[in-house]
Amino acid sequence: MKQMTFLVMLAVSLGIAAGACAPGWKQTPHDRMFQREAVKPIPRVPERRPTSDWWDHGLQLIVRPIGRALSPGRWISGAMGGRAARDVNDLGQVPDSDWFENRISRRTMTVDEAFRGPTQTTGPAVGPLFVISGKVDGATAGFVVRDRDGITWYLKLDPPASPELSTSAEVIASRLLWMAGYHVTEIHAIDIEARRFLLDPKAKTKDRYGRKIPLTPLALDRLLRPLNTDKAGRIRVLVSRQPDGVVLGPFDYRGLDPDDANDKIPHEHRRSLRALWVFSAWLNNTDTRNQNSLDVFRPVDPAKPDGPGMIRHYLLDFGNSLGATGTGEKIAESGFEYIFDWRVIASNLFAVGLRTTRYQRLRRSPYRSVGIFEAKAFQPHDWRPTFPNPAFEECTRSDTFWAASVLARIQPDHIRAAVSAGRYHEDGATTHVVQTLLERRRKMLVYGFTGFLEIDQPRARGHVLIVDDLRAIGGLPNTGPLRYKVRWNRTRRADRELAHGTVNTTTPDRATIHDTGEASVAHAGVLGEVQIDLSSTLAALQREAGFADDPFITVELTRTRLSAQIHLRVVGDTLLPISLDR
Amino acid sequence: MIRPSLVVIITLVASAGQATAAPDVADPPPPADQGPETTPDLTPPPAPQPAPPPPPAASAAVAGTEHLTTETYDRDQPIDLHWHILNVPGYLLEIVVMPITLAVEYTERHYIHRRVADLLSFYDGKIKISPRFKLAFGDGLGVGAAIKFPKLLSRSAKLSFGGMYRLNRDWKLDADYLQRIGFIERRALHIDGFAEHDGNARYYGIGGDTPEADRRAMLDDEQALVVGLDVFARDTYDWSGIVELGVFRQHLGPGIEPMLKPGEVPHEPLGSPGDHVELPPGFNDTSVLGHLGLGLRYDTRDTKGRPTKGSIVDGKLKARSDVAGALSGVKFEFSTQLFLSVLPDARLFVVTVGGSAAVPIFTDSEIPLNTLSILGREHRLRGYDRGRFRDYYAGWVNVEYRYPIYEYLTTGAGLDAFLFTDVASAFGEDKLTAKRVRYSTGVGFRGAHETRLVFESFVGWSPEGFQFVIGAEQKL
Repeated sequence: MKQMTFLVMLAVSLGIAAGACAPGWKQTPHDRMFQREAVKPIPRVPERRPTSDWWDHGLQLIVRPIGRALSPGRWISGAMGGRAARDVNDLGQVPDSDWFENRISRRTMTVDEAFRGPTQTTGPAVGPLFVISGKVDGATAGFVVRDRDGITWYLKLDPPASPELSTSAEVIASRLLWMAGYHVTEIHAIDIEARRFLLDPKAKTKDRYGRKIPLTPLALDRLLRPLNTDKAGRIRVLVSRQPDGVVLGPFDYRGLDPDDANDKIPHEHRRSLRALWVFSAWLNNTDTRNQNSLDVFRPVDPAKPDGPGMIRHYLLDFGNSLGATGTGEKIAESGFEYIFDWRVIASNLFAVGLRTTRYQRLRRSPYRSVGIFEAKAFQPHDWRPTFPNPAFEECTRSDTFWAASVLARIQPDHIRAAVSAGRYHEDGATTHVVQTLLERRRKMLVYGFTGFLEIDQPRARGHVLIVDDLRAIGGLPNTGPLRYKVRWNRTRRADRELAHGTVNTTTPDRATIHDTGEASVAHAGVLGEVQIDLSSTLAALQREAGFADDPFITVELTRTRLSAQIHLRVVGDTLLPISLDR
Repeated sequence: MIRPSLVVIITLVASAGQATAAPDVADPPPPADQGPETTPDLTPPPAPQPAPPPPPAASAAVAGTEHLTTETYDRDQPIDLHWHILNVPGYLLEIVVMPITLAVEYTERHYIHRRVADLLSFYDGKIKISPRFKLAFGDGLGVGAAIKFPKLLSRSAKLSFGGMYRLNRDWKLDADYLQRIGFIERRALHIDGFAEHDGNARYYGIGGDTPEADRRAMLDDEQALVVGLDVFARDTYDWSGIVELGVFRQHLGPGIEPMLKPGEVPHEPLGSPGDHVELPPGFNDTSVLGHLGLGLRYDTRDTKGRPTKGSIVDGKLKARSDVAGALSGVKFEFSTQLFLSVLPDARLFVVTVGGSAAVPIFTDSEIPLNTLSILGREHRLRGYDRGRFRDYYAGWVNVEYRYPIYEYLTTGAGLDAFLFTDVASAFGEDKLTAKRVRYSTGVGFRGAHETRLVFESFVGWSPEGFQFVIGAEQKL
């Protein structure tokens, strides 16, 4: 009896062990390419306390760098190539969430969409704009107005000496980040006649100690008088619409929000936040502090603003993009080093003044409304925001590749449209920004794709496997034909090769398949979309004994020693891509 | 190189096969086109595109496979305990500084910084209180304050009173008055006075070859009242100078041994029976000396705090004598400092050459201690102790290579590092020989704005060991 029990237990153990040998991607339910993070409504509006911008500076510039240097975790993680992001499915995609929404990755966007971005309206309603509060001190003034329709708008102004510098940059960056998939608020760069501003009797401002005091006509006049107006008496402003819902304050790029039950992934381990550096570097958006983010509680039922809802996370304030800052043109160091950079200070110290930097040779663009924004000295790998960002520091090469795959889909026409939305009036400024963005995009794609086979989004039409060739989509030079091998991926048994061949992706209008016998030839649709018809291979395979119980095949794609494996499940006459290993 | 045809086709792919007309990237029309009551010009670029075609199959589950796939991403998140353990040092640091977080947050939220600044400035800036701090090895921590009246007499006069007390019971009180006088081309009249008690001033005897083991602590009580007048009019460029007349009182006596080096035994008090160290003139006595001073400076630096070019030529004369003529001396001091830019971006050599000579005014009188030539630490020989060598004559050459290591934006403030070598000698009591030429070398940092030096810190090495100084004398 004891022997029997032992044998049964042994058999069960072996069975479990054998089952455990099956790769995780074979287990159902399989991930779809584009998914949505599971969330449940939070019962009530969480309370937020204001965060300290000062402390955030000290923490990010001094305390955390020292703490990281002292922590073995940082060094071990670095040696291992970083810790994997957690909001990534088996197909390498980031699920839609209140942090990120696949837009250009999911579907093709028109130039009109790129031009309009997240905007739902055409800006404040025609008529008077009632100033309800104002910031009358600081480097650049700003105020809050309510239009005739009762919509609240935040107004920001350009630095007086640099018209259009900041407002244009902010609009352009917001349009492009929105296309990539980030949540941004609705903003417009518009010209408004100063006489449209009327003081609301209850308008408030803050005194020297932050206490609310009435905003007087004199203070408003002092605010508006120094502004540069055009010949028609209009001033250039950036209007930003407050998102619907309850504004909670900025989010932290690190850790979890204790008030948000849906916040289960530490922010620094979200690929969408880690890879934001790619877009920030591209746009030279150097100010990615916590303060430039916003959490908004969005009730499920808009009629019940205090009822259950979810928190949406927005990116804000892109006035430090391109060649701009909120107070004037960027300085040459911006984008090359942190505002207080231990690494640079140590390098300077030990180099005894002999260290040279690329930015020392930078020259500002000839356009006053653009400032220093160039692509020659830009190198993605050593781009730095003004303040260290904990999420950026965790970014792995896989995260960067993912962001590059999104960036590749933002096409030159999209960029032109987004820059047009910035409404530069200076001759040549638009062209300069477009060309610079295109060149920075090219450099970023080259960097992001390094070490990875540039294929993405496997999908199927019947037994035809389709993948996107990101090099072609991103406009990078072709590096050679794509080779493929098809294997029956057998659990607990060696794989069996079924077919192999070459896809010549160098042909400009079509990717053709050179059939080697078992996989039949099929024409690819258009460039950037690679098709491999596996009909005949699968027809033969489906007659094999045991295939019905183990219906998985792996297609290995290779180009210039880089490879990727696409795992597929065969379901009748269709293929189901279920995992992608790069 | 991207072939043109390829670029075209890639664009086609991006719009999933739709013909995409590129928007006109030419600059938008001038604002005059917008009319008086302008609403945002959101006119899209020409030829807006139709809605895109349905997304490719990738975005949806393959038909008939819905039961095998899920649209919802809901994975259990790992605890990552091992990573947390590996990051404990960083966590501990953040916990340790947490009280600072609270203070910083509270300050920022309630504008404490402004409230304190305003509290220290009364009556519309006509009265200001400035805190004073000092940290020096051997002398300990000092705290104090100054009250200033910067806008007296229709802004033509300034008055300030200050004081500092140190943990080793040393103290200092000072008062300064400055009066600009219009009828002598706004030259200023200076009236300065101070009283200082230093219970452990360093003293090694007099001579350029005094041994290190002769270090003694000395009590040095000083009081002074000096009236000075600018030599040049206030708007004279490059040149400045002052002529001074005053009275100086000094009492020297045995002091209290300052902080000892590891393994060092306390020395006999200065002047005790059997102590071989030569006593300074006026020791165990109180001297009242008349003071006459003249200082001239020719200064062509581009900025005061962080110069990159120019030079300073300094000449000083200081004469002191008591009524009886037993203590008398005059010291001439001359130095030239050149700021030689060697590379762009403020990388420069600072070369200083100087010398001083002290001679008695009356025959048979002794030169007062504070009129002798002095070398050590901030006095041109940075690897040696403060007041290490005092003698009649001294000469020095300092070569300093200064380079920026940090710039705070474009504010003109930053941190510079410097490497230095000092060569100097004090002589007169002893003959000048090659053996008595002292040298030191080291590295330091200067935190400065273009307008002023904020702090200077250095580590100097000499055959007698290291000297570490934070916040050295703020000389410009």
